[in-house]
Amino acid sequence: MKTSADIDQLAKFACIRFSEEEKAIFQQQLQDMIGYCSKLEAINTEGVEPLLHTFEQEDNVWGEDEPTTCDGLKMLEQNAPEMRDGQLVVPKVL
Amino acid sequence: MEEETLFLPLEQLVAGLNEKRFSSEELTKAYIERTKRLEPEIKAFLSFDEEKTLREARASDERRSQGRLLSEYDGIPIGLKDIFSEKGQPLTCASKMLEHYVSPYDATVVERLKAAGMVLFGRLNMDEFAMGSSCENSAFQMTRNPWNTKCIPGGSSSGSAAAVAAGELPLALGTDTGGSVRQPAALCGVVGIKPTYGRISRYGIAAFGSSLDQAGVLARTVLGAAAILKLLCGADPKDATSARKEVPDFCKEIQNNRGKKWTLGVPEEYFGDGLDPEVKEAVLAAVDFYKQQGYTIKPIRLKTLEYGISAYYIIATAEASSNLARYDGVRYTYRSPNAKTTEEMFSLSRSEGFGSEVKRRILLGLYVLSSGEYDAYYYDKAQKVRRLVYNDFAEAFESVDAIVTPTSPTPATKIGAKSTPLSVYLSDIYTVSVSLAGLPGISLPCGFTQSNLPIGLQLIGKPFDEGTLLSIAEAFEEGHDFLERRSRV
Repeated sequence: MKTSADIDQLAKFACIRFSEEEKAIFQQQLQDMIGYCSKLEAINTEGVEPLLHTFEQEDNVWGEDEPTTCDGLKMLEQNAPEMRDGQLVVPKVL
Repeated sequence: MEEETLFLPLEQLVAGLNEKRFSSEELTKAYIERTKRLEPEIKAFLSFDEEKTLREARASDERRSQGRLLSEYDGIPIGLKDIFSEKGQPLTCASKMLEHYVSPYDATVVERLKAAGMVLFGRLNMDEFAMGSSCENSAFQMTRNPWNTKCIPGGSSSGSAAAVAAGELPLALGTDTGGSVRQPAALCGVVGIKPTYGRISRYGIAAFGSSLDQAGVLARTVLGAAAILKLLCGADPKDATSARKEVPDFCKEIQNNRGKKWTLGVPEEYFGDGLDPEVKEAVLAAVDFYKQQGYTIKPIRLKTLEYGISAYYIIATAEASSNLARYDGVRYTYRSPNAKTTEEMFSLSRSEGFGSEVKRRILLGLYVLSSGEYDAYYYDKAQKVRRLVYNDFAEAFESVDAIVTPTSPTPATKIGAKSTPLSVYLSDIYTVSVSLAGLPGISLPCGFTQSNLPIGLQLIGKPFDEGTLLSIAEAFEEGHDFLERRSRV
């Protein structure tokens, strides 16, 4: 198992930019945390089923398929960084 | 109105309204006045719509005069952590990313508080996106501990705990992913309960770690917390992970359980190295109190304690890295004015909008989820350990009704005292395992240090057995007078 975080790759995944100085700090802090987490290796988990969540319900959650109204456009307008003619404005894609 | 009134337990505030000793407007105004006076020192609120709050109080008085109260708690003020959607009000999550966001709808819990006629009283400070245990990660301000303003209030529901402790409010809602209701409650000397995962709908609450997040209540008394908890619980069609289980009347359960002698488990692992001696003494004194009351005290083992922090931070950050991908600068968040391309819109907005702790957790979450090179080894391992933590508790609960531990290994520390992120994470040691196992937990005051800082007692219960938990907590509260103590501010 590799325990060194490739900060450049992670920054790319995260869609966050870091200065060289920030990278060095985060790299060290991540390393500390990963180092601490490696204590999990000491615990035997052979044959143990992963537990993704603790929510137990015997059957599925069903609902009536009833139409409801939701004024999405109005909700968006209130918070959108930039809108024009009911559409979100973003920088040129092409 | 006398300031002492503002510190009354919920049931006495309700009685005051019913007996017309004061109106909701008078009560709300008195809290507003006190809040205005204390805020320069406490800094618990991120925003406050005074006009709206007083309008709600007057509407309650109107209902009262017409004899159509919506609930027993109609007209009682309650504050919201700035993570709950309240239509027309800001929701910042204490992040620059949502600095100008206004909620277009109500969270289910907010709907329920409104349906009960409660007065929604301001937006309370927190660690950014609920990531932190000290409030030092709020992008806007540092909330102070009312017992000593040089100390942290705990977090992430920092403003909620500090405001209730300072008597700015009688009640507040918080959220708890790894201890964010219980730990600030402990550090500020108030009651804080996180119910079983699934008890309360998460609809309209900004997400951090979806398999862990639960709303909770901060109150001055156990009965107050029980009453509000009852209002919030119950299935919600808008959240498929809200439990379709009957919600008992917790206050009645407490009354019916009075005098019962329960069996309490005391796990030795929770009293080992790293526990402050004054905290240890106070918690063991609490165990002694129960023993004297005729409870059966049973030493138990919870051997997975030392793995809790690792498993928790792996799982919570993995879920957070996914949940926080939605903050992209496109639709409703901060957008960098420097963005010229689509890629810059995403990356500059996220770089400028998120604070350090949030970035750190996104990176850690992405690291543990990375496939291929790293094979998501840690994520898989953490989930297996989560199962072991769950089994550990399940086994303990075969022979005990609840488990007694400290809430936090130390009382409130000085602001800035913890220098590395890891040292901050370690302070969650007693609360995160409870969250991993989805169990209900409550923190209540059980003493004070020599320097007059509150100490919290944590009681952990069986799934969906909040009634027993609250009953045991109330028995302790009844036998002590910690409520009489007032914070310095």
